[in-house]
Amino acid sequence: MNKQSFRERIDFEMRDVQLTPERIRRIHKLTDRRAPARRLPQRLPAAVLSLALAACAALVFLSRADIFGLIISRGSDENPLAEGGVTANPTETGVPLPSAAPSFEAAGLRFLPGVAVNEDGRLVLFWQVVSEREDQALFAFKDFSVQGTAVGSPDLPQTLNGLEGLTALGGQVDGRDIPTARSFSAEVSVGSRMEALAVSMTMAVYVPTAQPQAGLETPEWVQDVVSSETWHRINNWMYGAFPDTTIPPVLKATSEPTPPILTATETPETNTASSGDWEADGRGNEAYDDYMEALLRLKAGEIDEEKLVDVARAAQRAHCMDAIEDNRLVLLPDGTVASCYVETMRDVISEEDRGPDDAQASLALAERCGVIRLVGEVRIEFTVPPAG
Amino acid sequence: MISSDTERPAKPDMDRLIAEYGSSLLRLCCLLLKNKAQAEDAVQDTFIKVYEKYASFEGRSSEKTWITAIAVNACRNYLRSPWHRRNAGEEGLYLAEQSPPELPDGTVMQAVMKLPAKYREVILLAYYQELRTGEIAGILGIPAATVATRLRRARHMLEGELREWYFDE
Repeated sequence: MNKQSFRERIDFEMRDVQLTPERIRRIHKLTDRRAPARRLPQRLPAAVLSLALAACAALVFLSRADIFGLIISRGSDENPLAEGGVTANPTETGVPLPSAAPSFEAAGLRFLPGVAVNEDGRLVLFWQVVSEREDQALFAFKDFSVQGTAVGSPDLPQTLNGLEGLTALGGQVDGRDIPTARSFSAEVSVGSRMEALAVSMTMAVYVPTAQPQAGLETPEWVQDVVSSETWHRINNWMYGAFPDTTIPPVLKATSEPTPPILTATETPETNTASSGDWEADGRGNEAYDDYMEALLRLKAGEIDEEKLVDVARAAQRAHCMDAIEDNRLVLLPDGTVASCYVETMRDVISEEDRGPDDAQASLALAERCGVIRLVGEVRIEFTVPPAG
Repeated sequence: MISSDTERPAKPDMDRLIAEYGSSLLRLCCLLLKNKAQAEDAVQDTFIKVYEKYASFEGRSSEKTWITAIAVNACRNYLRSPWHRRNAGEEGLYLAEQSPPELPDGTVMQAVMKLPAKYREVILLAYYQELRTGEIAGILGIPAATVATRLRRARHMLEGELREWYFDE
């Protein structure tokens, strides 16, 4: 089998599967059927940009009273980033700071930006994120944008956008403490301190879900055909307990020959080699089909409620295994399972070649899978006036 | 870095995109969802999102990879929807309604559709969309090692299904 023959064969077998003219019309209608826009320069020529920035700087200077409140300090030899980050009380660093730096808050996380000038004369935008939450909140910056830089830092938005700013604040992972109030900083290079900066981004705050959405969905009508006890048994299963006690779970004990070893980090093949029962892996959808069929058979009187519970338990187990393989759940040594959101997020942000779009898609996927849940977000916008 | 000659369209050429990707995306979505009506909806959702997000596409991956990722996400949304799960038992309708009547058992299409969803995803992205393992991992949000493992398993399953007419020819 090779890719070309596979693709050709699929295309041949599905040659009648084409977008209908009606569907194409609908797509065009939904996208306004606007003609492709005339190509425009993505970036203005430097000279034009410099002129625009100069004009902007002049306007900002003239309307300084209306500026958000950030004032660039001049003549500083200190680089707050070189000092190892920003402290909770920036004035202690001796770095000239904005006189009225704004702060933003979302779901118990405070975002404290500041501005300074480093030894090289470069304008430095920095910030600190402080968590007042007691759980393992995560945050991500989206739509990061700095406008008004003459030289610019082309990688900056790409570096900060998406999940690059994602981290966990507080709590423990695998027994290791995660530092609280971790600081993040960024530098913005400018060619002239006479320029104004318009900084904007969205800080989104997420928390891990107590129960990832990989369980069964039972139709409401089942309530009418089963006893309340059975309804409770098929719906009250939580991810706090692995739904099959016949498989002794052992976490990351690869040196032990028995019992079977199930870990979230091993590949499925390793799991299969360790446990013949692991072949159920990947069967979540099929198991759900079996469950739905069992519900219908129960309704028709062909099986009893005990049989339904057995099928439901098997389906739950298959879903749980799927979730473990997908790194959404981890099986703990005590036989319980827990969300693997941190590991999943690490996988996401460790992809070096991942672009902002992919990062956003992964974030959305993690949210959709129930690994994390958005609890708040705040739009952050402020203007740094020119130094003149 | 300032550049004066870097140009990109502000909005996508939908005619080109539909002509270039429409059929293959529809077939991909059909095989992922096993339901042609939903597949058409997923493709429509995909193109709308491409239109909306085109300005933010920075070209760090290929256009094809980017659009495929959107399509896969659209399909995943449908697969996770209660409607799809309620109607999961009717998936076979697609085969009955859409397959050419002369299509024999043992076709690649049918073999692929028999695969569990997670294996179907990787085999289609690797062999039909011809994406690399790293690209598939990025799209699916899983480690590359897991993609490789699933590919090995999927190939093994397909070999069993297609041996008579495909591998022995």
